[in-house]
Amino acid sequence: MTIGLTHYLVLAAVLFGIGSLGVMVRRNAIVVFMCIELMLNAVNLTFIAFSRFRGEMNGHVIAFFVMAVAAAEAAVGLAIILNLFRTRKSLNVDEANLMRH
Amino acid sequence: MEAFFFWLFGLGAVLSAFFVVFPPFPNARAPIHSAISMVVCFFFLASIYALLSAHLLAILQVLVYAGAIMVLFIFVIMLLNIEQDEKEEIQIKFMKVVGGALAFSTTFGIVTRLRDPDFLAPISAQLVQELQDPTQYGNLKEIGRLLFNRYLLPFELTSILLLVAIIGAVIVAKRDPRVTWLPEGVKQQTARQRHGKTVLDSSENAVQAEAPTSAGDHH
Repeated sequence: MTIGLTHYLVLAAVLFGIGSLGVMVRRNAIVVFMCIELMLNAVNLTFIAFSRFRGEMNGHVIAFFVMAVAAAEAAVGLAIILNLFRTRKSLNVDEANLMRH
Repeated sequence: MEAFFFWLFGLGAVLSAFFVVFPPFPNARAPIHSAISMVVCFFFLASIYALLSAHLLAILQVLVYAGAIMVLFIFVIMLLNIEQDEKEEIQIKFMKVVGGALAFSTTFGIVTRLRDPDFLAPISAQLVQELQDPTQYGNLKEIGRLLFNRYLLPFELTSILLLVAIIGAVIVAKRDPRVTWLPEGVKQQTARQRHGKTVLDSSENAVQAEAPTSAGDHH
């Protein structure tokens, strides 16, 4: 059985699904954040799989940019989480609802 | 051979990703366990990138994600000692069921769409041979050539983005002396403080009344 593009795309879709499940189900801000990273990685996997099966490397460059954006996002997001914990003493994202009221 | 490694790494990645969302031991240390499974998942993904002949990205995955980003996560988890709100973590609520169903149906929809026969077209043996050659595909030289020719502007913009992110992270994480460390009952206190501030703007008398409580909040 040869491994085709579909296998990689299904794997990426499953990883993306697990990530989005985590974002919707878990309420710990850090775990939610990790699930976002997981979704970014799944998207990277689709880029790399497509670029391999098309025989070019543009997808690699896009995946590189996604990694850079993920690093920037992690730095800023963790700073926000740090501040959230400082002001609320809790990491539950449901309790950070000041803007709703 | 590729099939064996694909299933090995793919199943490993899915399993460790699952353990990120549902840690096997739901106790106070669960965030650390999630982070460790995330690192394992990143290693499996790096192996899959290597399987896809993306050698540079496999190394970058280990260096940037497993090495830098997850260390930052673990650092923050250890900096904030989280103990109190872990018990309510795996409660099943209505909205969680809705969210889970939504995530599952999204995945299912994507996977069923992939049965389109165009995706199943096999790549030619000659192209496979070409792609397996590490001097031709996915190495630093080839990606660098793309990065500095065709994608030069996005590359430079990425550097600006990283600079802005550094400055933003420093400014956001810096402790603001005006923000006090709120103890328990945060919601009521913040509401009262906000009322205090609005009153503070309108009249001077209320400031005197509110001042002792806000001064008492200092940590």
